[in-house]
Amino acid sequence: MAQVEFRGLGKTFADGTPALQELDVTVADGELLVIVGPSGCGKSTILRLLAGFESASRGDILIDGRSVLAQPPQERDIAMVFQNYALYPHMSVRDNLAFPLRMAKRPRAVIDKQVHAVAEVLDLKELLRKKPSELSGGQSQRVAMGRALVREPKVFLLDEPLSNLDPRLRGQVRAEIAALQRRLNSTMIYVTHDQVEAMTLGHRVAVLNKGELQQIGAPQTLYDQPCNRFVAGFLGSPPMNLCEAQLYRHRGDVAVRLGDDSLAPPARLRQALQRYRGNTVLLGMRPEALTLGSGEGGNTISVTCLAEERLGHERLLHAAAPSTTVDCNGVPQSPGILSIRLPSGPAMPAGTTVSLRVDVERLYCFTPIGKAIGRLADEPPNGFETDS
Amino acid sequence: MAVRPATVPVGQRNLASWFVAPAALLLLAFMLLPFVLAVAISFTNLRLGSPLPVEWTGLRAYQRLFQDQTFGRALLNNLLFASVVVPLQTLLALALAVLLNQPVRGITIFRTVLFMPVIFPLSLLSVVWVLLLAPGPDGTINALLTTVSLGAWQPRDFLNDAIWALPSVMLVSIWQGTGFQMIVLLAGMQSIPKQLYEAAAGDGAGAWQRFRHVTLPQLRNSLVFVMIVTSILSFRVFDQVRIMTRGGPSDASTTVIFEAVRAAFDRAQVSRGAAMTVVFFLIVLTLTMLQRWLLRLGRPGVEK
Repeated sequence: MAQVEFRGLGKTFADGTPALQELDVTVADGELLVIVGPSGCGKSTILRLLAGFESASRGDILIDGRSVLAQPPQERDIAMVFQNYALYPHMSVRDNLAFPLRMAKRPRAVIDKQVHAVAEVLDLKELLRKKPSELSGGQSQRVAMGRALVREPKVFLLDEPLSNLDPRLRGQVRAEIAALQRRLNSTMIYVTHDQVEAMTLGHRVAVLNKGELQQIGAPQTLYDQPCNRFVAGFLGSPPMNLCEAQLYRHRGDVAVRLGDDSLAPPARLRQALQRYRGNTVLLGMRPEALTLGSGEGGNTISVTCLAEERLGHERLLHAAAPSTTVDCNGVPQSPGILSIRLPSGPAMPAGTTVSLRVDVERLYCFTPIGKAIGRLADEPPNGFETDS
Repeated sequence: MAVRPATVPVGQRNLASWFVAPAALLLLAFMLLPFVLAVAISFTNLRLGSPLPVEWTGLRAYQRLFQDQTFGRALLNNLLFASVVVPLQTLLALALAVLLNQPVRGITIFRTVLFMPVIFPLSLLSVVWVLLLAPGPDGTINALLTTVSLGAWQPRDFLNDAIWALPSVMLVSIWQGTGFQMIVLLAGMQSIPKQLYEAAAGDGAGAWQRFRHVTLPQLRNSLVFVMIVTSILSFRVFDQVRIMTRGGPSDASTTVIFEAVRAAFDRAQVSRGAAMTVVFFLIVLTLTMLQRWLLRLGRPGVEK
């Protein structure tokens, strides 16, 4: 097992497309790092660079402190699980599992023993004589995992390993991967576009967008303290509501105007928001930060219901947003929709006006270019920035 | 009675048979009928322009055929031809396909050049090669070999040499046929998923091992196809022989089809020629069955 270090790693494709900007991340020995982002954000490129299938344009990759850029893939001792599994179609499951060991020229007895051990762990013993074309999706996935596990490589790379499975199986295999990683204590880099996988699996999660690392940290930290609009809007399902709101002076303090309603700013942001007074900011509200009912002392907004999704244990209310809303990329949505997570209750027909109490301590504020206001250590020096 | 449910209305089925009719008629007239006639004629003593009445002679034509040394030589030559040309040409095509599968600039130019011999008529190419293989020190190939060997090569008349005639025909065939095999193999290679190579590299396989464990098994069906087609062509070889050597010297380069044409059209022994084509047909049939069997063998055990 090993530590992996990306130093200023960058990749520009031959046609000039920038795939990855400067990436500086160290993956600790035994860590499971999840890289998450929308498709085309460069997350797979990181794996392909590490595996050696692509050559880096800039920077360096170190495994246990030694640069591996000069080594071809077969010398890097890295195992990869592909999205479509890439099992060798002409080989039986047994031969697929044995292949990495045969390439490593292990003695036959050792190969048999290790294949047997892996088949035991992954419950593949019944399948050893079958060909990949005879396997179901879940079985193929397990064989692909087994082929990666069998020779105990330095690093495991998993490229969207669950995206070809049906949702029910996905949850199960996700748990199996997490358990396996804990038991083997192996270094694993797991790429996905699914934020649920990222939140549930990762020791740390790296959010990537347009080839740039947005934020890296523990899943809960990313959820609770997103550093920018993208991270805020990408993690969470449904995602954080991002509405335009005005900051105005109110009795010598600062207050937030959202549509026709006004809200008190969260105490933790009061100081930081002072310098944005008189400006428009993006107000972030998690769907669970809103509850039904008008409270005394303000901090309520009234909205018109558009639709309701009943999930049994809870329901998602979609209401007309009181102001312009944007998605995680800052693109205005039309119509603007506010998602609210509510406990199940009597139906709310479309057109009903409801009052919602806002838990102001769970509000987030972002500058128009999307930086979080009031996070430690990343305040812009000149107070306000304009979109460049 | 057919058990299949009649999903197509009767009127439409009649319409469909009208569409099939032209092709079916042509196939019947130009493929099936001549073949049936050939089999029938091979059991008679038919000779063109002979005053003798045509008689049913049973297997006599075949008996004579297998006692005939020239025909034996022709069969042997075909076997020799196939056993040299098929492996050599396949290996060469495979090597070229591997080279042409690289992402190199101007690769289409190489592909075009190497494929070019396939699109020219074999008869034309044979004439060109007759000129290249011209006897004496001024013949292109002779001159080249003399220069390369620093004078050690003795110029010879390739096409009139009992030892060199057949290899010369083989050379032209390989040179002409490799392009076709190469394109088939190249197409096969390009349909191999790239991720299999990446998976193999990740599993520690070097370039040779990736070729051995990914390319070759994945190329299996293309290879079987290419080798069977080349084998059939090897038994059918005619154009080159007719133009370059006329089967000579003294049957050194004769082949089954060349003998069949010679018997039927030069010597008017129609029944003899027909018997030869039937033998040829049986050989091709065997090869085709072999191909079908090999291809079925390659599929996974359970078919659904």
